[in-house]
Amino acid sequence: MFEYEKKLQYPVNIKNPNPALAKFIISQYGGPDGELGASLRYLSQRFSMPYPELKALLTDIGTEELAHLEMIGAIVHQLTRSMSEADIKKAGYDAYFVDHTAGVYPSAASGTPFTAAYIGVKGDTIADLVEDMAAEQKARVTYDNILRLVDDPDVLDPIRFLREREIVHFQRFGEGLRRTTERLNSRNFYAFNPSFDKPMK
Amino acid sequence: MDLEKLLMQINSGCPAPGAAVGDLPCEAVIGMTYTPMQRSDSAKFEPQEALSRGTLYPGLEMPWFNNFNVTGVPKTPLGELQALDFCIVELGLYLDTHPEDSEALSLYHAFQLAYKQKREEYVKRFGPISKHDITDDDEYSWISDPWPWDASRRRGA
Repeated sequence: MFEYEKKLQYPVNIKNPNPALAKFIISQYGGPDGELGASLRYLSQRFSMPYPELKALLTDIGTEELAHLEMIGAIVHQLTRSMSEADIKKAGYDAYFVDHTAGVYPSAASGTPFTAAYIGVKGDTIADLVEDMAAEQKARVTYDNILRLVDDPDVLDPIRFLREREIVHFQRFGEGLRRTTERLNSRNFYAFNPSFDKPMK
Repeated sequence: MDLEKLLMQINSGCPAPGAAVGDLPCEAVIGMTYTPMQRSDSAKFEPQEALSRGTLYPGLEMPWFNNFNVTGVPKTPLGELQALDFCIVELGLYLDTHPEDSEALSLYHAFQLAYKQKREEYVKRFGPISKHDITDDDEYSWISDPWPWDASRRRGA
């Protein structure tokens, strides 16, 4: 089960609202490589993972992604607080505002709503872990791109923190895949699917 | 086919792959990602710095255009709690793939102990973090503002 802790993983204290930044940072909430997709991907993949290290890893990283989702939500919320109609128009936040006001809605920067099509659950140990490694890289690049467009240190710091987490997670998934291939035969890693084919007793 | 039989067949089918040279499918190891396992003696940051940088391990820190976090997480009651919590999360991920590393496990216990102590102090002064922290005070303090996403800083921040 999950239990809420009334604190953020990393502080978010944005002094100056700026809806122009929220317009694209929302993509890490509900976009193709965002934190909602990340948490659902890992927390769903874990059910078919065959080895204890992998069950733990997918559970722990999936849970951390929920904390990241909350951080992104906090950033978007604080960037869009106390906006006037003039602020909304000036920042080009009007399209989002019409549909969601100052609510936080899981969508991509382009406005496309979140979809489970962003994630993969193949039910094969190697395929799922390779997907996870790619997902961490794509999220890292999204944060790189956000860093290019932001100049407020209150926003930059939590974004840099989140970007670094992608790098650590990539390493851990790589280690998880290594633990997997060590159990398999290098003559044929693909002879069977450890997530589905269980050795007979 | 039964898996045991399949494994025996794989083991007898091809000559043993020696060095990673030669032609597939028989003489070479097939392409596979290779991630070096992180070493158990990796250097570590202090908790507060680890949280600010987003990792406990200097060896895993790869900042974009070499820009580091400027402000850092303040050493407030909440900041200290977040830092210790972060170290437990980070070291926990390491232990997921290195469960046999007894040195890392002792460090994990040390972080847990420090966290438990800080958390108790924090809850006493600033209110509950989880619903299990609600004590027999008069008020149901769980609902008290600010919530973590609010722009007004959480107490102890």
